[in-house]
Amino acid sequence: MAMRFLMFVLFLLPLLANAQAKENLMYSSGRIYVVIAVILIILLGLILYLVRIEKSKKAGRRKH
Amino acid sequence: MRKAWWKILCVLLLVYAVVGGLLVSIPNLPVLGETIRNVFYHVGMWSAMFVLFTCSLVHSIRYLSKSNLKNDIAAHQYASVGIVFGLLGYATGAVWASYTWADPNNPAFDSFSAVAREPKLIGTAVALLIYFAYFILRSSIQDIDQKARISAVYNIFAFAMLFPTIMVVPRLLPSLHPGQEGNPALNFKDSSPAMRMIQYPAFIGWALLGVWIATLKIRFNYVKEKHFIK
Repeated sequence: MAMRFLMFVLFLLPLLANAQAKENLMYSSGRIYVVIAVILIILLGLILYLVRIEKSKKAGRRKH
Repeated sequence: MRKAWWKILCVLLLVYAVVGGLLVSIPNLPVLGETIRNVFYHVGMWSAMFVLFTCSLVHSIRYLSKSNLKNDIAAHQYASVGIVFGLLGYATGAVWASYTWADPNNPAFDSFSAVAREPKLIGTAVALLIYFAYFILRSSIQDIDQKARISAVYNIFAFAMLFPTIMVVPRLLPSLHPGQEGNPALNFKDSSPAMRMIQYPAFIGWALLGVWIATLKIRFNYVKEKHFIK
């Protein structure tokens, strides 16, 4: 269920994402922190996915 | 160890992509600024997704010609890892866009309805939902051989739908997403030769990482389903 909610939020993200004031961190240094955010999303996303696979592998081992 | 060369290559290419991608000097672009460096990461997700879906298609076709359940497992796992990369591409694209063309602080920004109508977003959402339907179809059929055959046929349809939804239709409609008159990943106007030196290795590196994860999942499922595999 949590996974489904996450996916639902993901598809709405482009509409919800709304940058606030121009002076915040994300706009400093030519918006380089946007790149950092993107790299972090990829890293955390892949790690979460690997954790999920690990969990399913443990469940599979118990069954057999 | 001899078979692991492409995994070593994958790690080297990704280290090169992250380090080089943050250090390379970029052309001075109006709206994008430093965020053009996202090309190495955001577009890399889509390249990985395409490679994984292509692998899935090849295994589906091989299943239909040979009826070997191993091919069915491989097609399923390649598609599931491909979906993950597609979702990551979508999430990173949402963040990138909200500081560039979908940014309300940007003078060129029109309205949120223009962002919501953005054909690239809708097209990719449709393509990913078609692949979600592939998994729903799989889980709705009990008989193993029937499940494998029907989902292999559906997988070919889903792959065929990738091209109109992601590539053809968004380019026919007015769009805010860059790269309107061609392939945004291979656009020569927004990138410099130095950037391209990192772009292509990065795309290959992300694709190899996806294939690596998929092969691990496939091997695990071979063990899990060993009673059904010849």
